[in-house]
Amino acid sequence: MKTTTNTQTNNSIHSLKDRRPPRESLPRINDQYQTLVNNLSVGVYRNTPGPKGHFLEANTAIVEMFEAPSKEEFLRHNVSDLYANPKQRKLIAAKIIKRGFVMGEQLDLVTLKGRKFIGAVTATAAKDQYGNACFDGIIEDITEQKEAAEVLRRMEVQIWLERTLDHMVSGCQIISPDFRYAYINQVAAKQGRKTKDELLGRKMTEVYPGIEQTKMFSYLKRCMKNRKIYTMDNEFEFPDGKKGWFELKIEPVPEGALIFSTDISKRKRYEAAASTRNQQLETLNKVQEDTKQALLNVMEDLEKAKDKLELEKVKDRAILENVGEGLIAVDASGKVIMVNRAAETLLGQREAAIRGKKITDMPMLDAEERVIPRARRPIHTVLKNGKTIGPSFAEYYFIGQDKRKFPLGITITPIKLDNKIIGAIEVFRDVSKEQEIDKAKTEFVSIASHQLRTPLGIAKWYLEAVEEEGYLDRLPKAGRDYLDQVYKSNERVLKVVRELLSISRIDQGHVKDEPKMTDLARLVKDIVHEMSPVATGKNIRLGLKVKRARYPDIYIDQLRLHEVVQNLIANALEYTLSGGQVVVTMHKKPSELVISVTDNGIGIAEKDQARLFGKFFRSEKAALQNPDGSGLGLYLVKSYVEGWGGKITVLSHESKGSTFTITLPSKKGRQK
Amino acid sequence: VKKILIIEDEPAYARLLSDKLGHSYEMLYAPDGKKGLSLALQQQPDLILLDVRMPKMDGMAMLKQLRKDKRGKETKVILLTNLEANDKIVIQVSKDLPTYYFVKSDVEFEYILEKIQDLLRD
Repeated sequence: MKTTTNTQTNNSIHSLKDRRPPRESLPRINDQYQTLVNNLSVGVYRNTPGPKGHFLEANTAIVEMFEAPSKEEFLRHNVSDLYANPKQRKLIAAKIIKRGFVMGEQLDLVTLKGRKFIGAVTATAAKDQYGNACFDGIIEDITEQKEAAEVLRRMEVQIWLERTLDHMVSGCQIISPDFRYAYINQVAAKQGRKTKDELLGRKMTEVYPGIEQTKMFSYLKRCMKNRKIYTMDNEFEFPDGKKGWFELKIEPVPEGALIFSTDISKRKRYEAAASTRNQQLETLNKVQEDTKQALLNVMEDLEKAKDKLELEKVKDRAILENVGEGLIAVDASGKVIMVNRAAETLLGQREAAIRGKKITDMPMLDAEERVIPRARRPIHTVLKNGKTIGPSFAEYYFIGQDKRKFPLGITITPIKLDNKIIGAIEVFRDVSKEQEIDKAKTEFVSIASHQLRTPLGIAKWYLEAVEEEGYLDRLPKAGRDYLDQVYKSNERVLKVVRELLSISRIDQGHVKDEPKMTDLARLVKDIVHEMSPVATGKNIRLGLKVKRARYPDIYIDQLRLHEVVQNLIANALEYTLSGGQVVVTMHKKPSELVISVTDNGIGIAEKDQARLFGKFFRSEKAALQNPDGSGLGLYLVKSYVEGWGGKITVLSHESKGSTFTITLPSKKGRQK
Repeated sequence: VKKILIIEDEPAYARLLSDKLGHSYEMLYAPDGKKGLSLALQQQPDLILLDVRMPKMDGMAMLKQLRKDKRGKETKVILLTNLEANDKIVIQVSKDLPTYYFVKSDVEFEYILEKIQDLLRD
């Protein structure tokens, strides 16, 4: 490539009419000037004006500038060869011819070795000794100068930037990937109770021991890793023991992470103060509204409004005071702001002794009567999530007078203002009596049903033996019918006893789940098959709609699931009239399996739907339709399904029919 | 003739079983676990029909003692009780390997007879 260019250059040299060997122009220059020019640090040259141009004369400096091995070598090159963009040469030549000169023209040039530099050229149009047009010029390498200027400019920017940053309201710091302070402004340093010099270049963990445990630091690490922006409020404790709240924004920059920090301690204090005040207002119910009202009335009748407000306050307070249930109100931080009389009695403590203390200072026990750690107290969850907990029965215990532990019926409700949780109220009562009665009832049911089972079982076997032995044949038809009725009655009582036993076992927590991998579609199909004689007998169409032939197996107690599905189908058949239909459907949702039983039977009145799953509940209509039901079936179904982590729901319209739906988690492995 | 021992505190159950099985087998009867155990070791029946809840010695204790003795190690046992299969006591007893387990008030009498005959056939 280079060779070709050279050849062309030579050719073009010889083709030029006015071409004179460069040597011939030298004698015209004074020897004295010659020496001077050769010793100049700037390049001096004479060249021809053509688009490519060739040199007629060059001093030592220019030869060196273009890294040519010798002057002769340099002179052999076209002028355009020295331009980073050869086309630029044509433009410059045209400019010199047009204006007669260029001055300090900055050109992107390239040496014969290929190094790029910036040259400043000053040139004039001239004529050589033969009268031919030529350019005389000087050239300077200004790369360094340019760079220096750039550095200077940048420095200026930086100084300006730094000054700006130092006087910003926000703290600003750049943390290097090894968690050193690469940059920090005055504000940030001050926020951290240090000077800039104490921080710059040092590791965060050295300056602030324990900083690794802060939320900020963990997000800082995340920011470095994920290159994502994080914002948060974070409370810091400084070496001097003081605390401060900061609003932080951490964003990734090429040097590491940039942290903007704003001191919001004051704001937080105001917020806390405001929330306490708001809570008091909220707790005392409507007092706030009354305050507004009172303010409006001030102009009319200051005294009157004040009296009214006071009266309202007293009234509200009185209502809360005299509620039969214990009531404790806390602010957003869990500090007690009100305790009513019932709570005082239950806890055996005066309001004055508790108010202002954290509610968690009063120990709460779990069902096994172990003290619940503060962080796991339900009040914490309520203050955090803003969701009501309860009513729960005997899940928690308080310690009352004489250090007596008592089980609680408790509801914890958040108090919200403008969607912000500003506190919570615990309403509770002592449920010891209920708990005892419940326990006694469960035990009674268990003993009674075992005692009942034996004689019923004997009757069953003997009746079966009577038939087996052919004794029935010797009886008149009426006698056979009578015995048949005895057998049926006995079976019915046995069924009730079985259900009672199951329930007492659930209530006593004795149910032992024996889960196995189960093909649910197959199980449901089998049950439908089993039940179809009953349906046919009642002239009801029993259908099965299964979307897929097979569903992923689920890990469940087969016998109990069988009981559940059978119970629902039996119910549907029981409360559907002749000519009606019952359809069992099954489908899969992403993480659950859904089984529904739909009938077009008598339906369930809306008022009864909520109580439907209670123990011994029977709706009036159901009792009419089937006087023998125990009212235990659905209670059992619900207990089992919920025990598996599933749900049961009912959708029903009177005289139109009902749909019972159970949803089971399809993930395997609910194990006790 | 093969021997069946009924250990059952409720005579009505025992009587019905004896009446039905007495035609084909030699029947032995004990009203509690203690008497049942000594009878079992002494007579070495081919099958024991065992109730679980009984006075003096319950089925669980009786079965444990029986299995400890080499005369009772291999004896076939059917549990006949009104306690359910997942009852704590029953689970304990089952570990000592009874052949079958029935809830008396749930199972049809005829079905139990069939199972007994099956077991004693071989």
